[in-house]
Amino acid sequence: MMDVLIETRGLTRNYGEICALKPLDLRVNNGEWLSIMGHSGSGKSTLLNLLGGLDRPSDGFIRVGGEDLRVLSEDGMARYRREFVGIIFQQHHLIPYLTAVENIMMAQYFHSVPDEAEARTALERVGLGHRLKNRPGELSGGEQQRVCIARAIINSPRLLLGDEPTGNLDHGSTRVVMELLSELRAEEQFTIIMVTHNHEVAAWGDRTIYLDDGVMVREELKGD
Amino acid sequence: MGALKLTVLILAWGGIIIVLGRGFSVNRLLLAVSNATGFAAGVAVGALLLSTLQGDASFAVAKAVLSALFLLHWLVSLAALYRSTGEGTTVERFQKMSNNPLSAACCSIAVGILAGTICSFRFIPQGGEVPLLTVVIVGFSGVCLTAFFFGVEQFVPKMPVPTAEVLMAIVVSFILFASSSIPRLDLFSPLVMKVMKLIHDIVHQFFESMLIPDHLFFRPEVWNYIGLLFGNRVGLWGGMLIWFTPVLLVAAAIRLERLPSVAHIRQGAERRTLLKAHIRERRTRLVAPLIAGVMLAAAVFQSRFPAVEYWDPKPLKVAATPSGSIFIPLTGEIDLKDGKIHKFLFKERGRDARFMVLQNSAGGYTVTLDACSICKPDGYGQTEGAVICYYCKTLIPLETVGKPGGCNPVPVPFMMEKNGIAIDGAALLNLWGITVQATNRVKGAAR
Amino acid sequence: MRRIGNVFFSVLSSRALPPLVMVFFLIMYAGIAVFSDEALAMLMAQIRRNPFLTILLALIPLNAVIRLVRETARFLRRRRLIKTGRCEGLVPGMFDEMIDLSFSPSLARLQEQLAATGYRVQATETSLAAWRGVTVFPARILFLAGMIFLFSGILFSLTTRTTRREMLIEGEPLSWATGERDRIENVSLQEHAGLFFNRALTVKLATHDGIRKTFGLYPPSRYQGAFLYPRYLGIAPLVRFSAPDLPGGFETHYILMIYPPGKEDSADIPGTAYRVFFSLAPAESGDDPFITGRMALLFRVLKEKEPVATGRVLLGGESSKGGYRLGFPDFRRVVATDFVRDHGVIPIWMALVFFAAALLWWLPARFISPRREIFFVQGFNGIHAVSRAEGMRIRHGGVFHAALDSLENNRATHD
Repeated sequence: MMDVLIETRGLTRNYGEICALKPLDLRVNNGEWLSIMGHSGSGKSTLLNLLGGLDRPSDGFIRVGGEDLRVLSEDGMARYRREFVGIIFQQHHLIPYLTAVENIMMAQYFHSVPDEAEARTALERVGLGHRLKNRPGELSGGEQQRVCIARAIINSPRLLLGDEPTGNLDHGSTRVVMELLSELRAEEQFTIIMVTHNHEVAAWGDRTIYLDDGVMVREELKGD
Repeated sequence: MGALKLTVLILAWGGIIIVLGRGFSVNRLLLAVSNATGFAAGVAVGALLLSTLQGDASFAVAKAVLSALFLLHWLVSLAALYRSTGEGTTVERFQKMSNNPLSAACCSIAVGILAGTICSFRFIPQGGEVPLLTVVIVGFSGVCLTAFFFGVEQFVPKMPVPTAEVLMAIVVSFILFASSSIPRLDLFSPLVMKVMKLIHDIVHQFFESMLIPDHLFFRPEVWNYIGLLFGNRVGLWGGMLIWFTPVLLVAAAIRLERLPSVAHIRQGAERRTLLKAHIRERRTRLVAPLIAGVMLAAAVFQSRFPAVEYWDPKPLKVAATPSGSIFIPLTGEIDLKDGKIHKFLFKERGRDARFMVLQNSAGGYTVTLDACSICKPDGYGQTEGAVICYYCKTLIPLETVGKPGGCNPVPVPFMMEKNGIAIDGAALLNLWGITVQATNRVKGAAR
Repeated sequence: MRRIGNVFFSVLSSRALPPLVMVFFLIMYAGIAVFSDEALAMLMAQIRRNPFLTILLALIPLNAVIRLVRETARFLRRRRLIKTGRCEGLVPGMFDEMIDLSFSPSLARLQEQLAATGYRVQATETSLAAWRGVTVFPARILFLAGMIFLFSGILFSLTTRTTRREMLIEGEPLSWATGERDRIENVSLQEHAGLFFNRALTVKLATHDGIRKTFGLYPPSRYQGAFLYPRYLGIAPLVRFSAPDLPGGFETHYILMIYPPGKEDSADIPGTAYRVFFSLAPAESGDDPFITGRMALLFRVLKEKEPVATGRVLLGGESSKGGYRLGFPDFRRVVATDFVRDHGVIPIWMALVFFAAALLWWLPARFISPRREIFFVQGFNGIHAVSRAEGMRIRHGGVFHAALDSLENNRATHD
């Protein structure tokens, strides 16, 4: 039996009058790839923020890797984000005046100490060994997203969160990025939770859940 | 002013107790009792020294002990740096000793004795019978404070297990902070004097040894730079260097400690996390030398700007008789028999000289210039049991006023007459001229 | 016995020895300074006289020699190891970090990876060495050499220095040693815009066999193995003096150390109660009379401590007052010079040069491009991986760790 990495019960997030996420029960296994689909405003990003420790629930229970995120202090939450979670955004948020390798080292710096050799190796793993010294502006969209992946995995997170990571990419680049993520998951054994609008992208996951108006309306396993 | 001095002593004792409490992981009660016993014993030792030893001897003994402690601090710090920069040597931790009740008690008692002695020098007057009541009050206050600070200690954040040199650095800094609040126990000013002399000696000897010609041949601007080496600024900075170096050595020993190897770990993030933890731990341990440094800086401040009021009379103008002699009556406008320094100003044909007369404890009189042969002639002020040179802040015990050498006021030949003192005016002017010319020429020209 | 010898040798070669010896002498200095104003001179005299102290001081250069030999041998052993690529010479403590891998992966793939990070790589069949940067070892050698020269110099100087003061007078022979027939031809002082000095002193000497030599100010010139150390300048004026009770007059060359102008010196008139105080009058033009030779003497004549006459007399002139006459027809320049035999002077200067060179090497080597080394060598049961860095340790550690990671990954791939 696979062990459970994420467990939520009645997880809720309200913003004043608006209920962005209605009580949600969810279990994600260690090493699983979960895709989350839904329309804009369906609560996908809210769920992702709660799982990534970027936001706190209004109510309900949420446990990730044995940590009860409701009771973690601010310092504990920061440590959780630093050591447990890696995030890939649609807008990659790379620092424009730093080179690719320096962007990775920045993530190492916030985690612990920078290590250039390790940062180079990480970029080589995502196929950017020849673009180490290029700044984000000199890279294509797909390459930028690969730098983001290298940045997200450099600190060996157990949970990788993707917020529409291929939203800005063409078909070819999307495929390259998804293949890369798939390979890395096989090597590193991390869990992926990825929010997407794209059915093709969602199909890379082991399971897909559909949210609508803050409620999980459907769940599909791979091959269904 | 009195309250300020008291605060300094209480702060120092509190600091010592908290540091010892954090440093030794043995029974709190044992530590508290050892500290309190040591302190009470120290007060008694101080009282005995003050009542049995004549003149400056009791202060000299205490200062010698403090100097020895400072020297030990130096050696321990050197050893620490040696260990931490050695190849293939491991850094031995203080843990074993800090867990041993016997060593903890011994250290606490020894430190208590030192602190108690210093406090007794502040409160107990010199000479005569031991004032039992004062001794009991000071000792009892120390014991009460010990109990109070052991209470406070529990609320102080935990610090990493200190090494011997770290504990030593911080305790010594608190001791020196306390002792520098009593001018006659201050170590820093004499250190500055010694350094000034050492630098002067070394530069002079270097010129002699290396056959470098005299200033006659030098470009004036080059010679002025060399002259800076003789100023009291250099003595001050050199003194500070020696004063702070042990703490800096301890800090360097911590900073230069090799980080443990993480090469056996095969995951980068884990390696970096471990490295970060080691770096952070090392950085935390630097807090202790930093505190020690701050306390030493406070000691320097107290030494340079002592919270003491000086007796500094305005020089009284005197004139010479037609035969060239200056006569100062023992009583009259000024009473020379009060044991205080009395200053006089003699002016003749555009030349002047400042001198002072003092009745010593044996009843005899001394006449000296209001200047020494080393410093610029900023003059002296009188404080309890000593005169202080305003320029270099050195304390000269009253017993040695009238003897030549060092920063002592330059003695002036005089004749003791029935009702007063007679001094040769021309000789006085010449002596002042020679002294002031010598001290203004190269030394301390900065002020 | 052998054990005692080992302990003795390890004390002698310890890094702690020189600082401890210096601290000892510093304490001695502080102790002497309590009682004396001449603490350094007394300390030096003690070291000279007391064999125990002399030997103690000699331990410092001795220690430096031993350390120089040991550290050089250690450095060469490490280089040889890397060059030959054999694991036999590898001992713990030779490098900062040492990891034994229980497997024997191919090292060939590492070459490229290490080269890409800027390391120079050298491979043999059984090893792979990668390095970059400049070692501080030469600076260390220069520093130790400086220590040897400095303290040997101090020791030589303390124990063997002899000084003899001579007056070098224009036109007069040197009275010292074999120099009786050597003669000072000329002494001159000129304005001179140097880096340190603004005066140039030149002493010209004619030896008995007709050779002319010129001595300057600095660096000190040598004469028959001794350094010439000019201390003071003076003049030897020819003085004619007559007084009411000395009508016959008196004429002699005095040697007066009265330079610079204003400095006073005195001389007796032999067989009389007269004593004359002289000083050089400052020139009104501001020129230096010693340089120009246009000088005037200020004088005070005392008879049994009572002033009887004062005045000013120009070169070639005469002053007359109340029956006292003082003439100043001629003068010669004089240099009070120490003839110093000291074998320590040159070593001490050399030491300073060594220290400066060491600093010039160390600063850039340590802070711009410190030496970093990685070495993989095939052992009996696997690969030994060692690493060493003289600076930038954490960054270098990263490269070393990445190389180890890469070996591990290769193994995983092959498995």
